[in-house]
Amino acid sequence: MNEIIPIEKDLHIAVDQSGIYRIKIQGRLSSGIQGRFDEMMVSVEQNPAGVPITTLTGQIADQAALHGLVARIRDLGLPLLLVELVRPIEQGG
Amino acid sequence: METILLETKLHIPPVRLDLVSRPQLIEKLNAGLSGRLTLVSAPAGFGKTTVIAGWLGQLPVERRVAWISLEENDSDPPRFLAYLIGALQTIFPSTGRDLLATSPFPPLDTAIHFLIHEVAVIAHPCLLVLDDYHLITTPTIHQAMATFIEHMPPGMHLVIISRADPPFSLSRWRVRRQMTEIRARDLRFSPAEATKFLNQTMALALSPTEVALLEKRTEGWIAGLQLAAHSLLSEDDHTDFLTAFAGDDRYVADYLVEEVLTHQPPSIQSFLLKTSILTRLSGSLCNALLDRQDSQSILESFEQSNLFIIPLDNRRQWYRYHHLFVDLLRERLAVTLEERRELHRRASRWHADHSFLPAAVEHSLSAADYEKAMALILNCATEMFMTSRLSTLIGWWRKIPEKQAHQNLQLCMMIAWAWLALGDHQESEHCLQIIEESMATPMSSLLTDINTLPPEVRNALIEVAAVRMSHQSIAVTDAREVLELSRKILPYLTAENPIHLFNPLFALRPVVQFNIGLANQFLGRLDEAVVAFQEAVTAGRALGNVHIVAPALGHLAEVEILQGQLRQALKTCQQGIEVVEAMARKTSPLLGLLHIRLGQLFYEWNELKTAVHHLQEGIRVAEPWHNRETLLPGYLALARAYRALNREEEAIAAEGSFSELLRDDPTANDAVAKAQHVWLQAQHGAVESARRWAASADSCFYAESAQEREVIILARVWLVLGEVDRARRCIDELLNSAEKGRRWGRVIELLVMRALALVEQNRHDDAQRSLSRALRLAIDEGYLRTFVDGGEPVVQLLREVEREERGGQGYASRVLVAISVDKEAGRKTEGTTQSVPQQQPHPPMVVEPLSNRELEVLQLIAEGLTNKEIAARLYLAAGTVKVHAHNIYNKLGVNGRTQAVAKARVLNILP
Repeated sequence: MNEIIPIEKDLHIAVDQSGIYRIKIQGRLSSGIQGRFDEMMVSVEQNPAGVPITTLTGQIADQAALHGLVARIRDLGLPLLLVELVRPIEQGG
Repeated sequence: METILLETKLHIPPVRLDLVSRPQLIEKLNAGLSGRLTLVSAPAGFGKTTVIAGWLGQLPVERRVAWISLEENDSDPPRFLAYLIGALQTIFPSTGRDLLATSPFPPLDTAIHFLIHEVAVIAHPCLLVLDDYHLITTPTIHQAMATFIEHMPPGMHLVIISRADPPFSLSRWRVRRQMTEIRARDLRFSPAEATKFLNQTMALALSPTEVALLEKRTEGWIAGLQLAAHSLLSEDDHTDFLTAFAGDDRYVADYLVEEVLTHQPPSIQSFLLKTSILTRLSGSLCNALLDRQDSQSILESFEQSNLFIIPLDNRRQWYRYHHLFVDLLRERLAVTLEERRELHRRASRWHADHSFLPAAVEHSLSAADYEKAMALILNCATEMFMTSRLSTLIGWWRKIPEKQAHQNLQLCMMIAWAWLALGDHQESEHCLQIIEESMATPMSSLLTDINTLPPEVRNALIEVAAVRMSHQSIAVTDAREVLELSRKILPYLTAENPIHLFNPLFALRPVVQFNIGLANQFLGRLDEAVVAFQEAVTAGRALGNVHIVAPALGHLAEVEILQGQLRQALKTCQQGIEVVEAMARKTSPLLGLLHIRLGQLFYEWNELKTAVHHLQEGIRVAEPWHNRETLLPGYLALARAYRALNREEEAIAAEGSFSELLRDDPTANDAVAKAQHVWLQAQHGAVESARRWAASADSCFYAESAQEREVIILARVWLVLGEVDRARRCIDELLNSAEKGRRWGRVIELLVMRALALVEQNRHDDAQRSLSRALRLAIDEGYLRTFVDGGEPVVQLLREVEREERGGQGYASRVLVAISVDKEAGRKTEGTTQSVPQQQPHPPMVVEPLSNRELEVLQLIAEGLTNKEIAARLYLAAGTVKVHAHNIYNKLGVNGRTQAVAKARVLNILP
C-alpha cells in the first residue's frame, strides 16, 4: 500500500474514458447467455485441467459501463478470473 | 411511521437556484423523452441527481413526475415493488392498490405483469426516476425492471440513475434508439463550466491558470471541484493550497475531505463525524446523538453552504449526507469501539422512542446490543409479517450471535413461522429443533405426558406441533401421528390458555383442524375429513384467517366430489367464493382453488363453456402466486374442457402451461401431477418413457386411498399402452377400497374404466354390467363426462344398455343424448358417433427426433424471435429458417409457432 511498485506497462485511464477490456470468466456460456454480452467478442479456451475459460473482449464506454458488465457476470454466478485494460481509447477518437 | 419514510424516499430532491446551467445536457435529456429510457450512469460525485432534478423543474407541467431514492434495503423484492407502486401513486393515485393490499405478496416477476397491465391504461405523459439504482442487487428485480421497460405505455418515460450500468441488456433499446445515455463524459465540468462554478457560484476569483490546474487534477469531477472550492473558501492563500493539492497523488476525494474537515471548527468536525453513522438525519435525532440542542440550525447551515447534505423533504426535517462524503466521514470517525456502539445505542433509543422500529433494530444490532435488538424485533414482528419483509427479518436474526439468539425462544418461534411463510421448511424445522432442545423436551412428549408438562413447556411444544403440521400439510407423511397429536392438543387451543411463544394458542385452532381434515382425507376417512374441514372453516372465519378458510373450503369440495356428492360440492364452492370474497378481495388468489373445483364440476355436467369460464378465472387469480396446488389441476382441467369443445390449439397451450409449471420446480412434492404428466406424454406418443415410468411405479404404489389418485393414473397409462391385464389389476384393487371407503365418485370413475378394460379383454357382458352399475350410481348427481370421455367403446355399451332400458327412459339414453347434442355449442350432428371424441384425444404419434439445427431454431422461436431475426442470429438465409420451421411443425404435428412451442414443452424437448 505504502510502497509504490513500478509496473512495465503504461496503463492509465480516466473515469469517463472508453477502453478495450479483456475479461475472463470460468465456464462456457450458452448461446442464449452470450447474447447478453453482444457488445463483446466471445472466445472460449480450455485450461490444462480441461476447465473452459470464456474471454470477453471489447470496447467499454467508461467505468460505469465496466461495473455494469461485471454486475451482469456477478448475476450469472460464474467465477470472474480477470479484468484487464488492454488499452485506453484516446478521447475524441 | 412507514408513510413518513416513504414520503422522504419519494421526494424529488430540491435544486439550488445558483447552479451552473447546462443547456447542452438539458437539450439531450429533452430529446431523449421520445424514447423509453434515459440512463444516467456515472461514478459518485458527478452530479447525476442534481442534473436530473434540475431538468425536471424545467419540464412542461403536464408531464407528471415520480421519484424514488433507492436504498440498500430496497433489494427485498416486496419492498422494491411497494416503492415502485408508491411512486406511481403520487402521480396516478389508484395504481396498484389491489396489489399492495395483497398478502402474501406475489413473486415479483408476476406482480410486475399485474402492474404493467394497470399502467397500460395511462395515456398521460409521465416520467419515473429511479435514483441510486446500483444499490439494487437482486437479479429478479433487474429482470422485472427489464420487463417493465419493455411494456411501459407510450406516454411513460423512465430515468435510471446509477453508478454502474444496470445489469440487464441495454442493447435492445440502444439499437432501437429508445434509450438516451448521460455518462461521465457528458456530466464532467468543461473548463468553461468549471470557471463558472468556481468564480460565480462559489465566488472565488481564481485566475484561468488556477482553474485549469483544478480542472486537470479533478478531471472535471464535480464533487472534487466542490470539495476544493470549500477548502479554498477558508484559505487565505490560494496558491499554497493549489500547489499542495497538485503535488499530492492521493485519491482526490480522500485528500479533499481531509482538507474540508480540518477547516471546520472542532464542534462541527465532531458533528459531521459522529452523525455519519446515520442513514438519515433530523435535528431531533442529531440532538439525541450528540447531547446538543442546535442540530437543526447546523443541518440548515450545511444545506446553505452546500456541504454535501441533501434534504429529503420540503419541511427541512430529514436530510442525508452525500453517499461519497458519508463513506469518507465514517472512515475518519476515530473513536473506540465502545464509543461507536454508544452512538448506535443512542440512535436506536431515539428511533424506538419515535416508533421507527426497523431503524431502531438496525442501530441496536450495530451497537451489539442484542437483547435490546431482539426485544425491538419482536415489537415490530407483526408489522414486518404484514408487509412481507420476511427476508429483512431473517437478515436481522442472522446478525445476532447464535448463542444469544437461540436462547430467545419467542424469536426462534417467530423465525420458524417466517421460514414457513417463505416456504423453506428445512430452515423452519431447524428453529423448531432449537426450541425443543432448549426446553430439553421433544414434541413427542405431548403424546405421552401432556397433562404433566409445565404449562409454558406444553404450550411452546403445541406451537411447535402446529408449525410442523403445516410443514407436512402438502404431503402428510404420517397421517396417523397427526391425528393422534391433534386429539391431544385441541383441548388447549382456547383463549383461556394465555401462555404462548409467538402466536396465541387459540389462533392455532383452525390450523390444527385443517390438518386433521388433510390427514383424514389422506387416510380415506372422508366423513371425518368433512367434519374437520367444516370446523376449520368456522374457526378460521371467527379469527378472520382467510389463509385457512379458503384452502379448507377447497378441500371440503374435493372430498364431497370424491364422495359423489356433486350438488353439495357445488354449494360448498359457491358459498365458499362468497365467504372468501368477503374476507379477502375479489381477485384473491385464494379463490383459485374454488373456481377450479367449480370448473371441474361443470365439466362433469358437460356445461363446457361455464367450466372454461371458471377454470380461466381460477387460473387468472392463482397465476401471480405460482400456486401449484391450484394451477396444476387447473391447467389440466382447462385442456380437457377445450379439447371437448374441439378447441385443440388452446388445449395444447394449456397442456404446455402445465408442463412448464411442473418443470419450474422439479423438487416440489407433486407426485400426482408428475404422474398426470406421464399420462399426457403417453397420449402424445411418448410411449417408451411412459412404459418405463409405469413399470417402476407399479412396484411401489399401493392401492390404499392415500395413493389412489396416482394409481388411477397408472391404470390409465397401462390402458393407453395396451397393457389391459395390468390396468385391470390396478382398477380392481382400487374399486375394492373405494367401495369400502364409500367414495362413490371414485367408484363411478373406476367402473367406467373397468368396462373399457373388459371390452379390450373381450368380456362384453361383464363390461356391460360394469357400465350399468356406474349408470345407476351416476343418475342422481348427473355425471356425464366420465362416460363421454370413455369414447366410442363406451358409446357402444351405452347403446346396448339403452336397448335393454326399454323405450329410452333410462339414464343411458340421457347420456347418449348429451353426447349427440352438444347443447352449449348448439350444434347437432346427424349420427351420434361423429361428435364423440375419440378415446385418445389424438392418435398416438411417435415424435421423430428434431435435428440439432431444428432444436436451435425451435429455441429461438420460443424466445419470440422472428424468422428474420433467427436467420441473422444463426447466419442462415431467411428461406432456410422457414424450411427448418416447416420441418419442426411437421415433426411435432402442429400448425404454428405457438403450438410448436407448447407441444415441445409438453414433450420435454424445450426447457
